[in-house]
Amino acid sequence: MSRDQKSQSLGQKINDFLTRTRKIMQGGGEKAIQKQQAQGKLTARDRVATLCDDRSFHEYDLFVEHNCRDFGMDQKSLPGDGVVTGTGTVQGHPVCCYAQDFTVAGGSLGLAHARKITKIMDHALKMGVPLIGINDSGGARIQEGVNSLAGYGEIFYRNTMASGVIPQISVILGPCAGGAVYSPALTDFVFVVDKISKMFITGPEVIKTVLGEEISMEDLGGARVQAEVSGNAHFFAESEQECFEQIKKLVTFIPWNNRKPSEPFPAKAPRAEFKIDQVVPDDPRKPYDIRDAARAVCDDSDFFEIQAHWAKNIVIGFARMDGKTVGIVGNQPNFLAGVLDVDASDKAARFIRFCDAFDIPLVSLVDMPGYLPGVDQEHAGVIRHGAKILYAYSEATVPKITLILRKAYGGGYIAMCSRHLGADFVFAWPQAEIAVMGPEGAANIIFRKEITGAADPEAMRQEKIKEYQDKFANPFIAARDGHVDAVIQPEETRDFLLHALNVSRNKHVSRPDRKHGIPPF
Amino acid sequence: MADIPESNEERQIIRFHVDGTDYETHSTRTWRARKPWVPTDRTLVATQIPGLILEVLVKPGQQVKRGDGMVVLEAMKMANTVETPWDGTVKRVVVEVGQSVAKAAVLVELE
Repeated sequence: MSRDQKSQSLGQKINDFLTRTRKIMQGGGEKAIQKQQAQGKLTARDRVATLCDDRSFHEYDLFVEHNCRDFGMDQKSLPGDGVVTGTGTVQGHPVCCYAQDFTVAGGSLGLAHARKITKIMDHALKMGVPLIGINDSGGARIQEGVNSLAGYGEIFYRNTMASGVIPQISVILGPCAGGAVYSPALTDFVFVVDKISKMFITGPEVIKTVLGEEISMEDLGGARVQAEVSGNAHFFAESEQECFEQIKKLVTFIPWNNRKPSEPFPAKAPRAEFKIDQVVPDDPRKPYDIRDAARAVCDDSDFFEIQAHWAKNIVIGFARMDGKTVGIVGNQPNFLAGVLDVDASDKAARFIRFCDAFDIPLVSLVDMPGYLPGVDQEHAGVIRHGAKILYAYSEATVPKITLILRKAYGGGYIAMCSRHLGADFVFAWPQAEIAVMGPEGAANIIFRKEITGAADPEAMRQEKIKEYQDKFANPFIAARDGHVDAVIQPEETRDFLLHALNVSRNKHVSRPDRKHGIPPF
Repeated sequence: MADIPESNEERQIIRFHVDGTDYETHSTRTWRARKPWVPTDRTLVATQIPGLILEVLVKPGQQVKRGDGMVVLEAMKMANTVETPWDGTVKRVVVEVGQSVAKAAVLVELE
C-alpha cells in the first residue's frame, strides 16, 4: 500500500466518523427540534452548552445504542439513546452533566439511556465533582418493560450513595413524571422554570379516573406549584436562561465535594444601604424582612435565598462572611409572624443537613414567637415534622452561631439552634425576649389566682403582664445562666459573627460510633 | 375510563377502573373526608392565621398590586401585614377594625 492510499483511507474514515457524529448530534431531527423550540425550550445539547462555560462541555457515549428487540425496537435507532452526557466547567468549577433529549423518543428512559446517566454519576462520585441532571422526559420507555424500571432504580441508588458526598442538582426542563420524579427528589437542589417544568407521580388522567377530579398539568405539578405549594423545587425561574444563571450562582457557594471547602472569595463589607439597627424595628410587634438583617451582616449584602416561595415563615440561603460560604437560617417576621410549623421545620432541617454534610458553618437569626398552634398543624404531624429541625441542628457538627434579635419563646427558642442543641456561640441583642412563653400567656397562668381574685381583674392582669415582661422578657436571665454567651449591641453583630466564625474554623466534635442516626423523616 | 368513585358507605368499599383493570378496595376515613381540589379563587384575599384586625389599609375601588398590604392582623404577638397575592381592584372589604377572624377567613374581595 502506498503512502497516498493510506492517507486517503484515513480521510475517508474521518469523513465517515463525522457523518455518523453529525447524524447523532441532530437528535430527533429538525421537525422534533422545531417543536421543542416552539415551546420555549432549548435542545439538550444547547442546554448543556449554555449552562457550562464557553466550549467547556465535552460529550461522551455519543454512539451508545439500546439493544431492545421487542415491539419493532430492533429496527429503531435512537440517537444517543435520548440523553446527552458529559463533563464541563461551570464558573470554572468542574461538573458532570446529563441532559435528557426530548426530541429523541420523547426523552424516554430505557436501560442504555439510564446506563449513560449512571456512568456519568459514577464519574462525578469518583472525581468528587457536582452532578447536574437536566430532566426532560416522557417517562419510562414502555417497550423496554422492566429494564426501564431497572434503569430508574440504578439512578436512585446512585443519587442516594452520592448524597452528602457531592452536591447534586436537578433541573426540570420539561415533563418529569411517574417514577422519574424520585431522582430529583433525592438530590439537593431542584430547579424549575415557569410553564416548562411539570412534575407529578400520577397525571391528570389517572386523577380524573380515580377521584373524578379534573385538573390541568400546570395546576397539578407546574413550576409554580412545585415552588410555592409542594416545596419540591428550590429555585423558580421565568426562563431557561434565568434558571442557568441561578445554577451558576449556586455553584459558586457550594464545594465540589464533602472533602473540599467552598471556593473562597475576597472579603467585602455589607453595602451601606443595609444597616442592621435600621432594618429591625424596636417594637417587637412590628414585622420586618429578616433577609435584610442577613444582608446587613454578610459580605456585599449578597444573600442567595433558597426555596424563596415556600414556607416563607423561615428563610434559608447561602451568603459569604469574610469571603467564606455560610448557611443562614432565619425566622421571617414578615410572614406568619415567623412561626415554626410543619413546612418551615422541614425546609430548615434539610438545609441544615446539607450545610453540615458539606462543612458549611451555620448562622441562625432568631426572631419568632414559637410553634404555630392549631388543629391542622397538630393533625399534619407538627410533632414529628417539628422534631426534624431539632434533630438537624443537634446532629450538625459544623460551627453553629446563633443570634437572637428579638423574640425567642418556648419550644421555638430551643429549636432555633439554642445552646442546648450544641450552638457554639449564642449572642442576643439587649431587646431580645427569651422566655418559656409570651408575657400575656405566662401572666395568665402564673398569676391566675391573683387576677381572678382581684377587684379589677383586667387591671391586675395588665399589671402582672408588665411585671412578667420586666422580669423575664429580656436576654439577661438566659445570660445569667450561660445559655447566652454575650449580649451585644446590634451594630456589633457583624464583628461578633465574623470573630465567632473565625475562631470556630478548626472545630472538632467526636460523636458516638454508629451506623447512622434515625431522624424523624 | 369509568365514572367513579362508586362507593358503598356501609362496607366502605370503593371501585375504580384504571388502565383496563378494575380495582375494588376499602377506603379510609381520611380518603373519604378529603376535600376535592378547587381552583384558587383569585378574587379573594384570605388570612393564613387567626387573629384580630388592627387596621384596614384599602378602600373599595382602589387598585392594588401583588404584594400590597390589605389589612394589619394581630396574631402570634405580631402586627402582621396581610398582602394580596394578586393584582386587582378592591370590590369589598369584608372585615372591620376590631374584628376577630378565623384561619382562612376572607378579608378583601377583588375584581
